[in-house]
Amino acid sequence: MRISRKILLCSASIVVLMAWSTSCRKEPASPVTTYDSAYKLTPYEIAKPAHFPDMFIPDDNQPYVERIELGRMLYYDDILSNDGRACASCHFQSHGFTIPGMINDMPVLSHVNLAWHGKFMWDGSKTGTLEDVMLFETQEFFATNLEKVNKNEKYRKLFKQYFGVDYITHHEIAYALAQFTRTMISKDTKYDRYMKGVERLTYSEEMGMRIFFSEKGDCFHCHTAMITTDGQMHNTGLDSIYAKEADKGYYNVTKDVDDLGKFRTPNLRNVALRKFYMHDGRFTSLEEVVDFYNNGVKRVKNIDPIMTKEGKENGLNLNPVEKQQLVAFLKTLTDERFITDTSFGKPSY
Amino acid sequence: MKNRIFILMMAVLVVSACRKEKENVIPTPTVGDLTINLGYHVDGEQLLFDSLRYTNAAGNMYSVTKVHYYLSRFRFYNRGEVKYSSDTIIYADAAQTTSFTFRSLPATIYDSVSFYIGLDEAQNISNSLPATAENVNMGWPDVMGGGYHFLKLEGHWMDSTGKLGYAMHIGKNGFLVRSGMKKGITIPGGKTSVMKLMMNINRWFANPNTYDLAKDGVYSMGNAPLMKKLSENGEDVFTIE
Repeated sequence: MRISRKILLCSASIVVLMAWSTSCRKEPASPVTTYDSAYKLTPYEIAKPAHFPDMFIPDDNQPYVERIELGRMLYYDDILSNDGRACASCHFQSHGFTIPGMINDMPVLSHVNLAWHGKFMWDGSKTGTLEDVMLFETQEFFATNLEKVNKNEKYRKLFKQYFGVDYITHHEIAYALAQFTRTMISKDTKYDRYMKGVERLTYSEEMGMRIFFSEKGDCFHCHTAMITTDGQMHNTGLDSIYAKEADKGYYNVTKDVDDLGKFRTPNLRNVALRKFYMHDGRFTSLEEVVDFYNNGVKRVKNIDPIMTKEGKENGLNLNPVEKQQLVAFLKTLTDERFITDTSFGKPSY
Repeated sequence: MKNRIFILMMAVLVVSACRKEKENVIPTPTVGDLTINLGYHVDGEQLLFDSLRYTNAAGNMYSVTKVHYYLSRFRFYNRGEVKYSSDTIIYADAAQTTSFTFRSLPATIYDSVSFYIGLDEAQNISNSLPATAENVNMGWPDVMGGGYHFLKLEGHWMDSTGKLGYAMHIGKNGFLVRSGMKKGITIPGGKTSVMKLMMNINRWFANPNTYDLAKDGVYSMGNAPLMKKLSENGEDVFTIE
């Protein structure tokens, strides 16, 4: 009797404790991934410029000072390629991270504010996050020799410390490059300072801005305020015959005839530093570009509807002064700080 | 004696553990949720992008490449009295599935609903919406009055010379589209009801103003008379299914 009473008591207390613990248990905290518990990474907060869209950063590649620095090292290191090239070989900081030349008959798109892009390359053939496009760069574009990278004492040590891996793969290289390129933000042009109310534009620049952001120039529908690109694909009437494969643009991705001649809206920050314009570099000055939009637009079937305003079917019909004003405004998009910021420059070690 | 104290303690534990559940017992739910799904058609035919297959009231053959817009200020009525209101702003892209839910509507029968296509003066302020890529792309330049586009309806159409583009853009205070419709909507308590709001693209070109792309023009932005026409036509572009 005494034993059975004890058993009863014991059972009752177990049931009671189970009930209590079930009712009061808190959800366990999300597991925190630390790549190398021996090395403490320093979180980095990327400051989003005012009125820029929100930036997408994948949960598994949140910014850390050390990883950004590692990405910068890789960006400038020809170890990524097998022919002596680094990212920086075609992306000069002094030119807004493009080059004063062309590669494969195409101007190199600038590495600026890439964090806000969802489509990459002139023809939008690469989509996704910065991590996705950097994976393409290391895996396919450079075809990085992983053995070479893994034999490098410095990288083996740093990747172990910052990513916790014993063997470096394209994945970690892409993630480190994405960390660095995500910080390459232009936000201090004269236009930015004007928008903040801390600097005035000249009369000519301001008139140019009014042309840019009104129906007179109608640049803003694709080159949206502040960020200067809508990230979308457009046919702006550059060609009526798509002679070269590259002229077909987005069609080469989708095989949809309505996408013939469509290209991704380029970012206009530091546009005055470029030497070649359009997907094939056919224009070599901003004046030539404005001339095209003024009276050289071809009325092709799939031209962007925005380009078909009555009386402006072949261009904007700006007078010479207005064209100069538009160019003057475009030159306010040069970001001296961006092209001289040492944190984007080649590491000294 | 010890055993009795132990049992008593256990009983207290059980009671304390279970008290919450007892307190959370809700009698009859007095509110319900309403999910609204947006859909698109052209006079009953499902919208197909980039296809020159539609004809508007003026006889223009046209296609649609873009429909971006805002919905705002939803109001649900019973006998002329607002029973539920929401100031949530919905951005919609007809190329994407858009669905949104209003929470905790009083459980009752509503006889009509109203909303704006666009943003009223209090909401139509530059950079006031969250800086998403969509909102940034919908910006209406400050030099043109500021705020946001209410609607971007774009595509191509056939004139006598061939395929041309059109861009029906509405924005700026004074051109808000006020939409409303009588429809019995029952919201049962404790449940989520579903309603489909369908936009008939052809209605933008008709009633009360027949919009002829050949005569009226293909580009409305910055053109007050054209935006007014579209805004008036927009009042009945939506129906509830």
